[in-house]
Amino acid sequence: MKSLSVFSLLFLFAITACSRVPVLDDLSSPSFNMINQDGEEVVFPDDFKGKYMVLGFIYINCPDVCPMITQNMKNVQSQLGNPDDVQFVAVTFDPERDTPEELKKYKDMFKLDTNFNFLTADTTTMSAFLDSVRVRTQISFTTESDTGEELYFINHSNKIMVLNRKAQLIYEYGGSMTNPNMITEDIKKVL
Amino acid sequence: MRKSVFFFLFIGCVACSGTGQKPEPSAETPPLENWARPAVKGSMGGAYFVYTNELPAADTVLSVASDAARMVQLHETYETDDGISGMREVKNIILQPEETLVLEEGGLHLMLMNMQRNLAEGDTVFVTLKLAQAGDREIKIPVISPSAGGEDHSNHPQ
Repeated sequence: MKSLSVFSLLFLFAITACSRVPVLDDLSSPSFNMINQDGEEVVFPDDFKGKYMVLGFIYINCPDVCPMITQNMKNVQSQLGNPDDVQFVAVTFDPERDTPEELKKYKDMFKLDTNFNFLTADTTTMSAFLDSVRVRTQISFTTESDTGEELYFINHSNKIMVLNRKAQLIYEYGGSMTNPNMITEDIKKVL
Repeated sequence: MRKSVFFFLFIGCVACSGTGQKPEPSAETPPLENWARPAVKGSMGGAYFVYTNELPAADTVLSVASDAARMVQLHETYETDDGISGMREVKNIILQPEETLVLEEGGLHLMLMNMQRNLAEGDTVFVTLKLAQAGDREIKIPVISPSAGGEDHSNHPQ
């Protein structure tokens, strides 16, 4: 009987020890001063600590991959039942064009709720932030519109991250190609 | 006794052996055929369609135009050599007889640049394919908000 209790305790210990999701990276510092789609100043990640975060990276002038990333995040939010304790944040890596006003239009186009924020920053801050989350970008090519306006496109990392309440990275996925069901199920395990 | 302890520890760890690194299976969603994304005037838009060359000879896509945008190009999404997502223009696509040109998410797509109007769900975009042999072919494309990856699109209008 005594040995059975020992076994049970060891079994529970093993499960508890193993069920902690490993931290892949600590993004709790440094902090970055950003602006959301409503023109409000926010500090990343400080203002978001205390809740889980689904974090994506997009730019508005991307017609294919970035809308897929945004839609995947929206689907995760919907599948989770729009919980208050999971926030959704998409950061633009094209701060020169993606002003708060443009981000607001983009957000409205996807019919996203108040728990889904889009962030931009000055180019220096954004560059440092993107380095910290290991998102790579490069201008891929430029073309000229019929009105003489220069249009450029950006090659970029394609990913969605999940951060825990301490702003530590616990999951990372391909942003556009991952089935949102998988992200949803992972988040349910840790909530 | 010692063997049993190791057995229980082994079973416990195997039962929850997540690592945080996730595989990336493709979404199982059936692709839409003809559809355009909602878009904002002055910005970029994306659209997808299929077109089959029904001529007995090969044909070439010379250009694309649309009532919704000042500039239209065919682009493809690809992964660069260093593993990031890129996009590039594709010109002069040749279609053999009965060959179907498929534009879909994450692959070939229509790049609508400098949108002339907002596109909202329920709107329609007209796209004109200029082909070397078949001439101009107009394609009617509905604007749809997709539920990418995870929900069934099969009931959307084509």
